[in-house]
Amino acid sequence: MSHANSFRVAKGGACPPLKKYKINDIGKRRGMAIVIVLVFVMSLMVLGSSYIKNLSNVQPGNTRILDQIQAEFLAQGLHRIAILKFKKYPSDFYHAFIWNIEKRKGSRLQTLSPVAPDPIDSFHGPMNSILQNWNGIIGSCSIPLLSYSTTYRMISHKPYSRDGVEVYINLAVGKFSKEYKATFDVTRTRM
Amino acid sequence: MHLRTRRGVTLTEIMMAFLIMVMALLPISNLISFGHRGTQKDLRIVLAQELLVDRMNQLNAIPFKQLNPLIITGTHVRLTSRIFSGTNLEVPLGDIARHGATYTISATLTRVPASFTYRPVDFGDLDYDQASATSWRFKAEKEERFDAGTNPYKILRTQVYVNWTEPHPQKPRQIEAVSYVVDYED
Repeated sequence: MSHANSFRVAKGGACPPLKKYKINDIGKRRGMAIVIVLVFVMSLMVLGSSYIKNLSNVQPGNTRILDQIQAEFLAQGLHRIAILKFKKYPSDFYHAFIWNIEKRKGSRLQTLSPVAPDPIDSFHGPMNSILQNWNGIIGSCSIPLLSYSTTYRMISHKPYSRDGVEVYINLAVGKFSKEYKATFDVTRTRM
Repeated sequence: MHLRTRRGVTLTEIMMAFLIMVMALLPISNLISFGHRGTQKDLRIVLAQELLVDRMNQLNAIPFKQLNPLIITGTHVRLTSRIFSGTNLEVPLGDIARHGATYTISATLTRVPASFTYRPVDFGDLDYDQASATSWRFKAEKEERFDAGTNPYKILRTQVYVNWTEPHPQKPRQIEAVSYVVDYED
């Protein structure tokens, strides 16, 4: 039966029960407001917890940046000291480095007297010296420096005239560690 | 009338729902203000790091021969106010206000004793041939010191400190960095 027919019947005759409208179903929606609010609150909680999570990630990030800044400045300073040493004793570095290459090749070399230290190790300096993990390197600063070391490498040379030298500084500050490399071109002039 | 039997959202339900919502929104509003405070704190740290990098770069760009005379007595000096004012080497130290916080910037210069070790080649050896490493003889290790004894100081430690106070709760903060300036001149 269509709605139009049922309306006509209702107007003309006895009123039939209105079962099709299911008015009582509305009554089953009781407590919907609480459900909606709970869903709303839950979604706000999820947003809030992700916000807190993001916020807690920012703080360690700032500490890492500070560690990196401190490591960079310390490495710059150590590079300057390493260059100063090379500038003072270029010929000793040149001989020590070339000799070490020959030694690694297995060439027959003159016996070292005294045997230790190897000339290149001597040039790099012993542990706890200014270029090798000296415990006074940061002075009174409270930088979380864990360790550092310095290594020289010659990448090209024209004996007693021109050298290409690399200085590597390995640094570990806090959770940050990096190898800093500086390359410099050296021309020697007779004074 | 049948429509009278229709039951919707009652006033009590609305009141309860509103109460739950208000109770949930209170900590969330606290969370938002906590987040805002966190952002402000981060901003202050970033600004402090920016000042630290700036002053370190300025200080380390000054040649050794200009920095060294700032140490008048002993081997150490603490600098708390502007140095080399009006010159291109100027480093602004002291109090600086930025974004509602006051940063105090100071620096220290320290003469650092150093010793360099190496094994010199025996150039006096008659077998010495510069072109052949197999002919080289090395002397015993030598150590040269730069500590104002036989040689003057060649190395200055530069340290910069940035201090400020965190407002909530009141807590002094400090960040610092260290580097070195050397004397390349003989």
